[in-house]
Amino acid sequence: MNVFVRRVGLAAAALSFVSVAATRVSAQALPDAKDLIQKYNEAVGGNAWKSHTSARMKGTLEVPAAGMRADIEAMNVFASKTFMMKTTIPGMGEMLAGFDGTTAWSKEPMSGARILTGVEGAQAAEEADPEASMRTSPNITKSETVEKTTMNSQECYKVVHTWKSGRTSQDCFSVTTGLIVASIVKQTSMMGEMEVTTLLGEYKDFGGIKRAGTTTMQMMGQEIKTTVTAWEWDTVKPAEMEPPADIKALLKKG
Amino acid sequence: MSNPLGTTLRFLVAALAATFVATPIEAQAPQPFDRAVELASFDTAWTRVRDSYYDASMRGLNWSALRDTLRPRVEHGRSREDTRSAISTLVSRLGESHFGLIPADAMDAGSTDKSDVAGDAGFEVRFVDSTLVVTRVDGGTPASAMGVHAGWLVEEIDTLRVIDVLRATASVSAPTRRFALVRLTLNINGRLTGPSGEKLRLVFRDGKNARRELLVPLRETPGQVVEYGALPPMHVRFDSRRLTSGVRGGSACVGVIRFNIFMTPVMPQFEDAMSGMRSCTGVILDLRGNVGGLGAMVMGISGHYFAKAETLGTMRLREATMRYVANPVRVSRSGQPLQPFEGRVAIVVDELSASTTEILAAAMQVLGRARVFGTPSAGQALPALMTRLPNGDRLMYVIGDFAGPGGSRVEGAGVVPDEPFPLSRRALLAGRDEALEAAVRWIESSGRSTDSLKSAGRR
Repeated sequence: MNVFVRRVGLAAAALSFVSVAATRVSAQALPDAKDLIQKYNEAVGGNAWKSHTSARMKGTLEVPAAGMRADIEAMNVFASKTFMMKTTIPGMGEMLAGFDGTTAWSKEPMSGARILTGVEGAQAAEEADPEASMRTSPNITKSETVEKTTMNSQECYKVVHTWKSGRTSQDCFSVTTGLIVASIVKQTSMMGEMEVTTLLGEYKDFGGIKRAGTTTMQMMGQEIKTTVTAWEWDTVKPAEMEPPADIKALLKKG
Repeated sequence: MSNPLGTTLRFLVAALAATFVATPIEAQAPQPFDRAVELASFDTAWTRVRDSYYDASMRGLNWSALRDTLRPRVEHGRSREDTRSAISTLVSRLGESHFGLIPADAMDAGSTDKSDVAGDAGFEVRFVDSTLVVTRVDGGTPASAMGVHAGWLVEEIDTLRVIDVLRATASVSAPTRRFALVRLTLNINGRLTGPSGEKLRLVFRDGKNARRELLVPLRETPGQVVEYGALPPMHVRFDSRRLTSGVRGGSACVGVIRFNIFMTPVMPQFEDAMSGMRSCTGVILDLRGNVGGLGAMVMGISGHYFAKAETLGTMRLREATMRYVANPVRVSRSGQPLQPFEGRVAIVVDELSASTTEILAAAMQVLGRARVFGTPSAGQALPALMTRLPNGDRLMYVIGDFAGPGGSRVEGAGVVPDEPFPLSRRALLAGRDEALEAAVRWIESSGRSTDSLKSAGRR
């Protein structure tokens, strides 16, 4: 459990002992989560993304201490809410993850092909929604501002999102720019759940739409850094979203 | 597409959680010495372990006090060896197998951009009682052509006298001696490597105990070279075969699969091998000498033998507890339907079977899916990562603890075979592989086939 979550836990415990009036004062001091999300949307280009049919993100991922580097490419077709991601790690091979609009899947060289189910499947499906990146997805049932804090060396408002699947995630919106400067997500895999804090920075304009150019996170004592090299719009071809043969067979099996 | 990085993280959890036993390392010539760099290396190692070791209490050790005690060794050090000694002493206080320091020179010596092609003597050795015995000779190698045979004793490798190193090990206390012998065996097998074509002086005792001094040319090390992260280049070797009885229309068979390291090039070969063994009575996974690799590969390998997503064990990290789970194989890479293999599974291990090998063997054994043969495994099964220090050395450091499906630790204890077969020089000289033969007999005794199979025979 990281410091942030401990703080949330302690705050929750403390609140049970303070008066209702005090809680109201605290709540009034914080901006509404809807306003923060709207401000964020305006800061990153509003609905400009809706004029496009698909997005393709390219980048590199580095774990410097482990000498590891990977190429990543993620594609999203907006209308069908389909998603596909390739991560290529030298010495390991190509890892694929996808969502065909109904079912999420993954295939990687260590454990093979599989259909994602339960929380893992729900998380992948929810994140495939293009509106999820704007935090306007109907999959988010509730967003609540919980505190003003400092993350990624910036003052920010922390918002807890509750998703349809029941899971929660957190964003911290910069007080000055309105951009998301940090996110906390419980990442679920077949191996279990791990909470990961991601710091977002170097927002850049990619064809009229602003996106974070770098993200960093700590996991298992390692710093993991992603550098986005490109966001392309309307370049995804249907054939590129085709899952590999084994995944197709698994999807057919149901 | 809210969190493409999150998708990658699913993979990274698995990819980063490698479990490795250190590759054999030779002592190397000292490099140019810069005290500031050495101090930065010590500090990096100290901080890295403090921040990532799974037990935040550092097993009750006063980690800061240890730094204060050991850092002066580097401050006043005269060579990189002083830094290495300080770091090794530091991490040894945690008392676990997967801490290690690999000298930069050794890493560079193994890199593929050198003009030398990696070579090896083409045979393996193990300690049997107080002797170093050849346990396996690959066919078609210069060593094989020169008559080197399983069961021969090795007395000298170049200038190294085996009796001297054994004498040094004898003074190590009993609990540590096992680890020391594993390291020693790895290092001695490492001494049987070098540039391909180079000749290695070896002194043997043959089957009649006659002294045989040979200059053995090193063959080009077979296998696919894999470079993964900060790890040194590795040669991945995979071999599979069917032992058939020729009865029951030729359908009765025992499959034997052997590979030396858990790296991803193994996976498609494993799938293909298993596809050819679906009709067999049983399969033997010969994991002797397999020192581990990518821990997450146990989920794919075991998926060939489980119909359900069985938990193979848990990995306790500082931030979370992760499970290794079998991913039942339902389709081939080309999309053809598959069913997990239902026949008997035997796993053969020895004292150099370590880490990921032990995770797989322990899980399959505890879950009742495999019977284990051979000698107790290394008892070195912890998730570990490797990082480059400022002076170029690589630090391998433990990030997690591992417990099998029954909750018991493999670290220290190792996997104890259901049917132990200690190595015997006499059997080796007779061309017998007792552990493998016992595994074949056990498979034959299953209900699926009572036919006698041809002798497994050591190749």
